Amino acid sequence: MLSITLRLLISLSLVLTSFLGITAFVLDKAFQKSVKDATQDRLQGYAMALIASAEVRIDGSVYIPDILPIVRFNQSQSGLYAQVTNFKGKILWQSESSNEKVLPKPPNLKNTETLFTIDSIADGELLFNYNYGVSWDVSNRNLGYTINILESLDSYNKETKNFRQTLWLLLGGVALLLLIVQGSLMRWSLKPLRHAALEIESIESGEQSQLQSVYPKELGPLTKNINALIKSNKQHLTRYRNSSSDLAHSLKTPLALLRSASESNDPRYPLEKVVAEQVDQMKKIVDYQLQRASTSGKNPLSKPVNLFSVIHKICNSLDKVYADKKIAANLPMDEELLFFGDESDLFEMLGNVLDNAYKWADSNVQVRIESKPKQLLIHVDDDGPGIDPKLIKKVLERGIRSDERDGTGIGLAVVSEIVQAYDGDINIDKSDMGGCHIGIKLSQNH
Amino acid sequence: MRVLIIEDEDSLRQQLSTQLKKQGYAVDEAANGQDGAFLGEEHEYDATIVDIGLPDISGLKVIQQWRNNKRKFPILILTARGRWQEKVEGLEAGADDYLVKPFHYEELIARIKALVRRASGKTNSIINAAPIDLDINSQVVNVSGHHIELTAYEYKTLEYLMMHNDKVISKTELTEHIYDQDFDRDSNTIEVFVGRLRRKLDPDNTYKPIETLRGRGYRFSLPINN
Repeated sequence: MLSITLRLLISLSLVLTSFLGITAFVLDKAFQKSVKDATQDRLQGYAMALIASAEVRIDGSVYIPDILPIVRFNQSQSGLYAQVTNFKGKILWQSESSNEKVLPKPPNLKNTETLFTIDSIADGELLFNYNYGVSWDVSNRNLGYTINILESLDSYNKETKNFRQTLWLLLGGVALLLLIVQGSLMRWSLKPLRHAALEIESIESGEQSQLQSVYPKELGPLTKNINALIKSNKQHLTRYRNSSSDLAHSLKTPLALLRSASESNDPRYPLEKVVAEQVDQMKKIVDYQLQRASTSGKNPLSKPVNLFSVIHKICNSLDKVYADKKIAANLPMDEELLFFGDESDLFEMLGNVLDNAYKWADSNVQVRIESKPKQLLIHVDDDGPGIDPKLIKKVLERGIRSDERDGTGIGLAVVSEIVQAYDGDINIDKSDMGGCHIGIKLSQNH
Repeated sequence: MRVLIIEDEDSLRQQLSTQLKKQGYAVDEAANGQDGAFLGEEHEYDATIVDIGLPDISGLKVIQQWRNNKRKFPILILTARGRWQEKVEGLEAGADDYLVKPFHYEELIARIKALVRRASGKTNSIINAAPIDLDINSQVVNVSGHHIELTAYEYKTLEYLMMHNDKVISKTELTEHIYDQDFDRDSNTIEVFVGRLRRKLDPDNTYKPIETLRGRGYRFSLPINN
């Protein structure tokens, strides 16, 4: 893939080139037009001067003095020529400068009519060709004449050449300047990106743990999410590490008990009983640690999950499992509410809490959700016997201890563990419905 | 009651089967999804036990296939993964209950009994049809409060008839539900069981709990109170 610098450089250079090219073309055309217009005006001026100094004789011929005030008419090969023809096309007069030159035949024009062209003559030279029609009264007759002024393109070409040279020099200079400005602007604009890349490199090499610099607001979402991702990854890894080492360590006690029971033959600890007890214990340990390890936790890039749909699915499932109890689940909530986090974590939290509610409820369960900025509050109530306040702490912090054989699973301890991964908390107290109320508070990024 | 077990782990399946047979169930076994799905399509079971993690077709697929084909028997899923999302998936696919491995056999049998009872529309584990009380959990039968001693097959026959008290049960249907697939069946034995049941439950021939409908089968004729 092309680098951003190269992309910008290529695109900006293309824009610059076409802009300057078009500018040059337009300026050149405008310049040529103005020079031509100026030439036409000048040649017209010459024609007027000639008319002023001309005298028409009675026979229709024209007299023009040999020495004219416009010096170039008098000098041979001066590049400025003039001739006068009558309506029959007959040349009546030619300027001194035009000796030995074959000039083009002027057209027949009406009074004050003009014609301005560029023509080539026999030797290939290009000339501006200006013609002016004039009529003079000669002994009561009105006779038509054409005043023809011709000028070589030499000076025009020279002027154009000079203009173009200056133009290219100037535009080239501007282009160079713009390229330099553009380059430095680009470096300046891309600096935060380069800086972020450097910071990420040092995160990779372990020199720092987060992006620390202040970044422009366009990069804000990116850098913020990178930081959040790094943090959640690290938490996940820590949780994973902890749970696998906890798993290994906590399995050692039941294993030791099994071994000693198999070796000691102590009648107080019959092997069958010890195996049954310790297998149960190990199952609890494995379940609990597995749940901990598979908790994703707060992940800034999780797809939002519709809360109602998950709760609805879980209630449908529990309706089947607890079909005999005919529990009425009341879900007064906004059906559009979203949970920003892992879907599987949500299932796990709500599954365990709702399972607990269904298990203890007499006939009614209620789930309410409050959505606050950056926070989600989930309340689950039941109308069962409620929980002994002395047991609450134990239920939530149920580490895996061997004396727990009271039939309550590890469900709520798992919930507590997941809730912590979402920077939240869980509390259990008496419900207005008579049973148990479980409140879960989760922090949300949105 | 006839139960199908689909479980690929041989020792677990065989032990489950032994435990269920001890409880008086007729048990069919399948070691993979394909055979299991086929058995479920072919026979009318009273309950099925399906392991989700099968080697060929997933247990979820088997359940969906049955439910799509209008197989209504209760399904208990066994899963090694205890995540709620998976439990909900299984129940949504059409299962009625789940058990996470490892489990106690007592737990499994209690769940199966509850499923069978629920499927027959009974809400209580003691079915009362005065003067007969049948406790499906302890498999004890009392008449007017006195315990009646029944053989395993007699009990099975009575339980099936009482569970399905609203319809006529043919001898073939009874045979299918009290014997497993491999058993050499003889429908005459059903007549023998019914005859003995009548003598034990109603020696004076006053209540006439089991009605014979000629050419069609039997019907439990006492009204069920719960």
